[in-house]
Amino acid sequence: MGNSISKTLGRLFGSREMKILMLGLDNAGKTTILYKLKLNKIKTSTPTVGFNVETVKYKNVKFNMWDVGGQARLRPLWRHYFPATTALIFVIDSNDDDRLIEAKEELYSIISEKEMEDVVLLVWANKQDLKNAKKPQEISEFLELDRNLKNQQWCVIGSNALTGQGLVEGLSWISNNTNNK
Amino acid sequence: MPSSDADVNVILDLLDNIQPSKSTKNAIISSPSIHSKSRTLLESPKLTNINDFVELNRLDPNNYNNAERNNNTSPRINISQGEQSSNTIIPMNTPLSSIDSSQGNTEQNDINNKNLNYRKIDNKDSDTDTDVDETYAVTCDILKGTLQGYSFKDYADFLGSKENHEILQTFIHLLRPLPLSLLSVLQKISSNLYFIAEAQNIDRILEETSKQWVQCHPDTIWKSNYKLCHIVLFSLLILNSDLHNNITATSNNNKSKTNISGSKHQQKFTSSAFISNTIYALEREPESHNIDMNQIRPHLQHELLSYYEALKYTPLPLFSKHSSKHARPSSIRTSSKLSFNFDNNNNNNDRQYQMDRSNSRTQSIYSTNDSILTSSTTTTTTTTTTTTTKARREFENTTSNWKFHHNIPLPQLYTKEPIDDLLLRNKSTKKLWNIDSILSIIDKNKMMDVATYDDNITSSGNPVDPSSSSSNNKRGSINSNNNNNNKSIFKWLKITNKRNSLFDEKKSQLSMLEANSKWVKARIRIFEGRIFIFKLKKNIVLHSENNLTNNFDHFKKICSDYFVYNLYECISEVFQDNVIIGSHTTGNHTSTRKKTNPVGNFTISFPNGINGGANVLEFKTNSIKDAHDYVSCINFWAARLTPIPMTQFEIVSNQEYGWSDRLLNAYKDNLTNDEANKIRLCVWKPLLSLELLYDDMDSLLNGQTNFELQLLQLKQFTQQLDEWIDKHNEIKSKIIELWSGTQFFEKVMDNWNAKYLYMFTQYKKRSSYLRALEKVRDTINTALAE
Repeated sequence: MGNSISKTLGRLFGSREMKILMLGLDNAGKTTILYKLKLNKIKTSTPTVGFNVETVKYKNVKFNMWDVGGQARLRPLWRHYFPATTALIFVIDSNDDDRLIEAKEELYSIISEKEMEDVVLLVWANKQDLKNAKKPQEISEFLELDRNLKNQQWCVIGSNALTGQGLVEGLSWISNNTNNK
Repeated sequence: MPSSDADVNVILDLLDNIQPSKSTKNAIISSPSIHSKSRTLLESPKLTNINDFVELNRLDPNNYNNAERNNNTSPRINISQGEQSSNTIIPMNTPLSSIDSSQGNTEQNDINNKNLNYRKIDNKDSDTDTDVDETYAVTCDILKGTLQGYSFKDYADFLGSKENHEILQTFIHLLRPLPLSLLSVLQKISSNLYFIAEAQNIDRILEETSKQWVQCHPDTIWKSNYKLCHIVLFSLLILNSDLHNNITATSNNNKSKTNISGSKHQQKFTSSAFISNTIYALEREPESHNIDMNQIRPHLQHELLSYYEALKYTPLPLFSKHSSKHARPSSIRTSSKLSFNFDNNNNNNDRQYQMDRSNSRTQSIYSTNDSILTSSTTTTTTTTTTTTTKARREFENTTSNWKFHHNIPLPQLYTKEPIDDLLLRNKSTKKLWNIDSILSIIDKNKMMDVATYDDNITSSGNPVDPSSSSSNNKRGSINSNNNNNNKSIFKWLKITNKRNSLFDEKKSQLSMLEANSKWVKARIRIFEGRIFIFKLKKNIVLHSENNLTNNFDHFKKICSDYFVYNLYECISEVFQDNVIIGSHTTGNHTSTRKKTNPVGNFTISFPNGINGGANVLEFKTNSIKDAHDYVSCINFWAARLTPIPMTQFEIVSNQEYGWSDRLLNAYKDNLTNDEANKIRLCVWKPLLSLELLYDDMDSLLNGQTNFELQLLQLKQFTQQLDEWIDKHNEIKSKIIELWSGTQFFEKVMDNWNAKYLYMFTQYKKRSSYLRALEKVRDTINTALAE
């Protein structure tokens, strides 16, 4: 899977390079997604103390995915990542009703930053395989993106990190909507 | 703190033993030397069993303390004792090399005792001693690298998970005393722990660290505001990731074209950005009101700058077994007074960094792959070009076809269920599961894989489908529109990858209609989710189909070429179901020209690859019934294995294609050009999906197949799709009304058509799948009833 996705990405993103932040509450499934996307490291990777950064590198394409997280007091530090960010991916556990509000707050705390104005937003309504998972439509209504994000392209896609469903679609969407950047 | 020479030796021994074992998961330290040496310290704790260890310790409380103290007084911990004792001043910019811990061994003793007391207080609330013991034992296991069931690379995530909070507390506590410099704190952690983890887990580890740090150092500028320290620690770690992650590191060494084009993305943190972002975060934290930020700002900037500079030249050391084993004695040797030479340590860290480069993470990534790649990556840190080509070659080798040609076992695509046995039990149903005979396949000699896609849509939106013949004319125009759209979808896909494949460049699907089509004999076997094709050499004559055994090796030899493909997303059709020609119309009675039954034909359409090719294979069977048998079998497997593409239909976005609810509600009548201009109209096109990858998807979806569930979901999905198509049809008149006067009319209608066509082709395919699964279920039920 990893290999296949990387192949796709190589073609998906042409000769571009993008920095993508991936955010979400713990247990939303970020790690599983990262694992699915943990692609060929064509260059021998050097593990670095600290955070996971998954990179797809294909020819001259670079696709850097940063695992960003932590509690509220650390959020202002995310500014570190903002410069040159192409897209923000927000992962939601669609099955966890209790923490949806928390997720929403976290999402807005970051997209309301000035630097994030031009960033396209992809929401992965993850864990669609679970029975009681909220559908992307419900998630998007709950998040009220329509009302609050006027100038930004956004998109909610159901995903299942275990099978990989929705992942290619999401990255494909990002690619479609960042062509001119 | 033991200070005699003998004790120092004991510590050295212990340190050697603390190193984690080399093996990874489920590793148990088994080296006899470790056992024997530990015994002198810990009175033979059986490291293989936590319970034994706990039991032992309970019997002898002195032992417990001993063990803790010994663990607690590793040189690295000792080293920073000097700082601890000088905590009356606030050294904003303590040069790291100036740390000298030679003063006051007696104080250290006190501190250790204090720590022990603290521990006891800490755990007073715990229910029993056993809990404490267990927590302690697990923590020791982590320090020694002997935690069962975890690779040492997972320790950080283990410590950082919520449920292991007590273990985390103990762990940090065992690292005490914590250095005064926050950067040194991180260095201390990362030299005792493979410190790469998820952000949340790192967060928890650093939070606990900062809590304990302010206890150790109550008199710094932070006072007791651990949250502020937490922010600084976290910020430093982000800095380390940014400065030293290979993403940024490699691009610096390697001035390639990539770099120039993407230079914007390559910028690392500047010191000023780092400082201002960190201070910004600190000021946003309510705890900062407890201290006078304005007053300390100059100091703070200075401190952060010094951290930045230090980190810039020396990354945080990555814990690794071999290297730290080498590193530690040397740093001890050079510090005969137990003082600490930081430069020296940093050199060691560098070495360890280098060593890890060659073998730590890459192996786990490639471990499932071919060993060629593993060996190349482990040896080539510098010759990246070699690695690149090898790695690229590796991607091409993930398909079933490639594996089959290289005698690599093919992974099982399905999960065995009772239904498999039921189908195989009797001869009439077996054909649905496994069909194998000699057929004819259309002969296209040129093996090319880059097929044009322009026939794809037309072929799947087959014009003679009875369910839709009423709208034939309309769809004709839709088809041509969609072809254009299709082109634009794949325009940005680079078609560079040539690979041996069976799919010829297709001009027309209907080779079977042409009199001069060439056919070759081939053994075609469908089973377990794949199609196996062996094109027979012309001179081979098979007398009996009994020769067809499970052993493919023989066939590999006698065929001119062979292929295997996964059947995900495939759809198979009997040609004669859709195309009615002359003599076949009234069946066998009028087929006077032919003595035999009419031949059957069937096609298999494979999903569009990344190349956008319409991949259709055509076959000729001896009878129409045979063709039906094949089609049933193929569609059964495809339907069973292929995930239902719900994702595409459930996407919610603010992209405007011309028919959003908001738009339809806001404007009742025609849009004026001015109004239309304000709407940001996007082009509708289906997103790429996993379908692209089915060609080389192997074990990805295993465990996903459950016959009954799949049947149920397919039923629901097709119903849903039916409703969506109706709905899409309903809005059409509104859209026409809305857009007809504007310059965007055609664009919107193209969007509408593209989506309609996509939904329709999906509907058609899923309905076939549904029928295939229902047929299998009915067949089984009939067979069971008999």
